[in-house]
Amino acid sequence: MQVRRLSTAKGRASHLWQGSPAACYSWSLPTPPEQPHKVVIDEPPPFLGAWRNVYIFVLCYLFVVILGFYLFSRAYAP
Amino acid sequence: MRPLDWIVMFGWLAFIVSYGLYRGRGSTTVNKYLLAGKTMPWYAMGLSIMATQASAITFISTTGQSYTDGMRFVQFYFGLPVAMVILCATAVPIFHRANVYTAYEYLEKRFDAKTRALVSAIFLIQRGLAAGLSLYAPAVVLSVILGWPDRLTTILMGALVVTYTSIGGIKAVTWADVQQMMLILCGLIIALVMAIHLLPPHISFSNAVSLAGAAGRLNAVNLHFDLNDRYNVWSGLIGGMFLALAYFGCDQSQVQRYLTGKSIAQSRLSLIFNAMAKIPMQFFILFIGAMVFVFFIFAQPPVLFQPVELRHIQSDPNFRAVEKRYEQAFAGRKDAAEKYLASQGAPQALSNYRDAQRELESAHAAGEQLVGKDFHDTNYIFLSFVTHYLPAGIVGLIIAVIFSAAMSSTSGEINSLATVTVIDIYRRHVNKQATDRHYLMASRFATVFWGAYAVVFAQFGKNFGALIEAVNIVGSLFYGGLLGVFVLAFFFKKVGANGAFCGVIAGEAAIFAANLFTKISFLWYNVVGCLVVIVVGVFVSRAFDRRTA
Repeated sequence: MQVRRLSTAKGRASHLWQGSPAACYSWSLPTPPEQPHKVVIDEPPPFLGAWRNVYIFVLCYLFVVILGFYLFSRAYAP
Repeated sequence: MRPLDWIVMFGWLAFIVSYGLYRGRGSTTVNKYLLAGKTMPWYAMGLSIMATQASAITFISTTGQSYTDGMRFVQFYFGLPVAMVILCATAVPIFHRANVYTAYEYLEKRFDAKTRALVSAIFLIQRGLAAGLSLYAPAVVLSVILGWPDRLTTILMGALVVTYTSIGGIKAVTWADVQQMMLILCGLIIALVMAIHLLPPHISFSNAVSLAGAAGRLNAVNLHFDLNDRYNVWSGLIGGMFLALAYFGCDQSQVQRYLTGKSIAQSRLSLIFNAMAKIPMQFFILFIGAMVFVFFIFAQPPVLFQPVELRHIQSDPNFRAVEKRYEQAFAGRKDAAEKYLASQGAPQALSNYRDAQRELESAHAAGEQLVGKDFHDTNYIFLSFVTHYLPAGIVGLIIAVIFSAAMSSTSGEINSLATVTVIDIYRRHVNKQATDRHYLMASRFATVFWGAYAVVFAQFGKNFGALIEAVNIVGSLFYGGLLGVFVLAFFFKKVGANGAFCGVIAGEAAIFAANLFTKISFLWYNVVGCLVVIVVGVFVSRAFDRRTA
């Protein structure tokens, strides 16, 4: 059984802005009341162990695809 | 179209509406209607994203483009996997945790209401125009092929889409998209198999690929960097990445698909699926066009693929001369192709084959000139092949594929337009305190409204002529600004609302200036717009925004 990690705003992507309202800007229309923060389950991927590995795999796949297309183009170039 | 084709086509259309209504049952709250109660699995979202992005014109035009220009268009998609990885790491978890219905709702949480309203308005203008075009453009082509008035085609498609989208909401849209995408994939495989199967017996698959390559139709990758060249590796990787970031990260018609996911992981998987499947699928579609090109080396194509215009020019006094030249050019190219294969690629035979190809293209262009200076029949090549050479039943299936592609794009568009209208405009600025049932009814009404709008816009499409091209350009004019404001939101913590608002306006001004005063390819507009939004946003924010503690 996979262990689920509860990830909140201070989780893995904490270096990114997660959405606290900036309510005091002079040009703003009135902002609605803040909604309670929702805890969202962030599961690991079903393969390769971590999302970082999945991303690296996709980029490697892209490299292989472009290389394959390039060789294909070269092979059948007039 | 034979009786079996009509049965297959209308049978499929009836099935897809019934299936959409069946899967969309139980959409009794706003959350279920607009976000499917966040219950969708990755494969449904992934196929729905793919179906929404793949319009009918994608299939009609892309195959024709490959026939006339080769496969270099595939490079347009090289930036997509990179964009998907970036979005999986940033936008997906942020939108999920922000618990929003729309991407623009997040902008109010991050900046303020005016920025949300500005970006929502940009989306409604841009996507509203595109929704009409999604119906009109394939309707024009289908009407010519089916012999129907184009009004009937747009009304039929619009009515079917509005029926299941307004009743079943996004659940109906997504599950109908899944079926439609499966049909599209089946139709494409059958089309490729038939194009190869219909070649003369002495032409092997290897021969066919050689002939396509020798004619420059397999030019999938070009490493030469040129800002004015629309398709090369660099414009695809950089410009294409920015375009994909904007489309999948800031366009509600795509964001809404992955907001319906059961979890962040499911949403990420749907994008990863697209990252891996999209390029091979486009390559496959382009390859079909290349094989259709080879098929027409041995089977004489008409002087024009557009049957109505062909009938018109047959009364032109110059037609006979053009037709004779075309027939001679066809015979010359066929002979040169046979000799090229027999010589196993000898340089002189290759040169003769390419000269014969150029002569045929010139003769075809002379036929197009009889219609008008700017007339091209590229969009009719694939459907001409389908309707004239494929067996009964398969023709109906391929026409159903084109209908499906148009309907899946339009359903996604009107669903997202309705969502932004209700959530970002109506609930935010008009009626803030109504019940959930009220907003559900408003969402259904907005869906019907945008569906009707798309149909009405499509009715007037042919009166504007160049508007279609203008609408395509309009789409590319807005994405850079949208992307820039989301980059500010995600990565520039110190940038405030005024900076973001001014940044979007400056970014849009820069894109319009680039469009009016330079010749750079439209793929670079997104890069220009995004960078200007960031620079101006940071500068204005430092000067005018009060910092939060």
